[in-house]
Amino acid sequence: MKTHNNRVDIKVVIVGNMSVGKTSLIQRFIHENFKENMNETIGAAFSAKELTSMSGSKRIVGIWDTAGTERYRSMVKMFYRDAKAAIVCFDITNKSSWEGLRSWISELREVEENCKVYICGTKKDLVDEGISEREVPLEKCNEYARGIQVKLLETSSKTGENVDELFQSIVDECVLDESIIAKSSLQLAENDKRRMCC
Amino acid sequence: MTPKPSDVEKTDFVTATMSIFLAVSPTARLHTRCRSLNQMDRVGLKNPDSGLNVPLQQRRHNLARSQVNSSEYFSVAFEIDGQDASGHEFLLAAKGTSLAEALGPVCNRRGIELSNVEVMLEQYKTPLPILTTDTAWLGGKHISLREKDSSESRGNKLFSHPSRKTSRSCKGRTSFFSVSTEEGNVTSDTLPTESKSKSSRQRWSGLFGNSKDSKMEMLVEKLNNYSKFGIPQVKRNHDEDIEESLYKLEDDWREIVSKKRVVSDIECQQQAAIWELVQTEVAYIHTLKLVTDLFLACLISLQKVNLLLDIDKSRLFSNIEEISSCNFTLWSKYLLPMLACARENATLLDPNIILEAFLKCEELFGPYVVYCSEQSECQKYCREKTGSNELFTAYLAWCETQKDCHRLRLLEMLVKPMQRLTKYSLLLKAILKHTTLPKQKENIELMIERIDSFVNNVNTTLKQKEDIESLRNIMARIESYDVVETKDEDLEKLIKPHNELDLQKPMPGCNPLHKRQLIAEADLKLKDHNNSKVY
Repeated sequence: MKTHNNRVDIKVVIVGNMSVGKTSLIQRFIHENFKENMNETIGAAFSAKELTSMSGSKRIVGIWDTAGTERYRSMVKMFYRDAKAAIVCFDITNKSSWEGLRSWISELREVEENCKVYICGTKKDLVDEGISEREVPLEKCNEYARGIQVKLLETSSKTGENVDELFQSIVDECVLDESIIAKSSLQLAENDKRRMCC
Repeated sequence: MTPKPSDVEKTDFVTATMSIFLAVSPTARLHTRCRSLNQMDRVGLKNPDSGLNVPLQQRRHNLARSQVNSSEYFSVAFEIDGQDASGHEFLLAAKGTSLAEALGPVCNRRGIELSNVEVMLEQYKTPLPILTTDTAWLGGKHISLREKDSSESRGNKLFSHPSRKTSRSCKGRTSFFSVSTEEGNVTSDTLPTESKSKSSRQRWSGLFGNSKDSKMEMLVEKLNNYSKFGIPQVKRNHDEDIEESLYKLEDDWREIVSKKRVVSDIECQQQAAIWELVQTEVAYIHTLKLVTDLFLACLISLQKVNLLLDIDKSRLFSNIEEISSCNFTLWSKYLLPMLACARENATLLDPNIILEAFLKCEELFGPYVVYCSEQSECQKYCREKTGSNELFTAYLAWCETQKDCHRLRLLEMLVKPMQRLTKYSLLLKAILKHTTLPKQKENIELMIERIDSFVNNVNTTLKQKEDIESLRNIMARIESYDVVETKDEDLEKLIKPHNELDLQKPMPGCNPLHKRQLIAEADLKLKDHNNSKVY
């Protein structure tokens, strides 16, 4: 597949309940920093970064922050279109954000069935440093993620733990998918040829 | 994800169309190139060493006038390596002349590629879009040309366009269709131009139907012209001063506030939050302008020469122009006065000034209701056309590769208004968090309440639309039964409309305002008692 030089190759949407740290996650990934009491509430609604996949090909990842739209479910849906991947966030120190997870995922699958889903448990540092109590046990998360066959990562936007890994695995899987599609189209072309010979 | 045959087909189709229009371009490109060279010669010959480098026509017009007012010109400085930095140029500022058109001949002469530079207005930080900026309001101003790459290497690598880096040779201006241009140029040096274009035309005419071929050629030529001379703009009723103010925003609110004033920490945080509202609003207006002045204006202008007539503007862009003008109003009537007040007294920004805007947001943002509810249709339309119409695909590709787009695609820009609308509340909440004055606090709370309820209304409108859609789907699937069976055709005609199941009708015994809603949808299983089969 040809890469486009100047546009986003992989669209990723970030969803999840209010104040689970969606914008902070993006801030960490794009600018590699973290702002305590973030003044920039909204940052960029759209941002992009170039990543190199495992196989060495470069892809531009475009990230859509849905912050602010959480309550307006009919409006959020508009942002899902064409998304290759979605990061569904919940706050591991907040049980209700975990309970919201299911509805986000089902809604996503309804609108963009081919969109890959990644679950991201945020604010890991709060638990690691003993500042807050963990409300969602890791085993429960893993079990759920296995059940619906999606990848789960616990991240900390403050320390940056697992953030790059999360986006890296998205790029790797998307590139892998592209090569599968390219291969099958090649096969299709070959089949056509054969038919023409006959 | 399993590969679907349709996906594969689509990819193949896109690659095919891409190669088609890349292949077509040598001929078209050759024409435009020749023309631009001629023009340059003309300008160069007739005005040797003239300080005023204006197109011939305008110059004549100019000389005819007895007096020349300095405000009709703008000066240009070249802050580029290898260029004489002291040599300023003076260019005519005229209504209907785009920046690209005005700068074109000068840059050509100096061997500068317009696509490689950023045009900055005085000391301000936002580059001017060269294709869509009308030079009229630049009269009496000073602009400078800066190398785009140098500023990028400092900051984000994100928006660098790799394609542009290769074209430093600065011969002509690389157009969007540059890939094939290079070939065309090389061979045209050795071959007589005419025979070259003739032979290539013959080659391509064999490949597709004549009408399509010539249309694509025309489109390519038009677009190349736009790259050189800018896109003709639809008449706008915006005030030029206000347009200018969009490029004049300070980098930080601290630049406005007097140095003598002591700013407390909490005030600092509040100002930063207000500044974010202002700054993001300006960026948003620029995006809207891009959609209207680049995408929409380009389409309108193409349709004037009978290209892309099958594209329905309103189905693609909805009422984006109205959206643009409501944010222009928000800017000119509320945000700008707030800035002006602070600038004048060198004090802090006062959020009370914008209260009124949000108090009547229903009225101010009215067009958003229509826009948001039509958005999903617009997206569908755009996707459909991209797949089926190669001229449209080429048009979109050209627009989206303009540097002002910053890699965003039209579809992504079209959802911006929805995104923006939901952010006002967040921005205001951030301001509220750092506000201590009781009066201000009260006002901001009021603003949040109003905008929240407005966005809620928009969401409800969307939800209702979805509901109606799902009810219609069900209605289409449920076969109505015949209440009365009759052989009489007339009677049947009379009865038939009453036989249909209409789920949108009010429910019997309920308030007409209560509408049916889809709660759950699943297969219904019936168990047969006699042989215990499940249907």
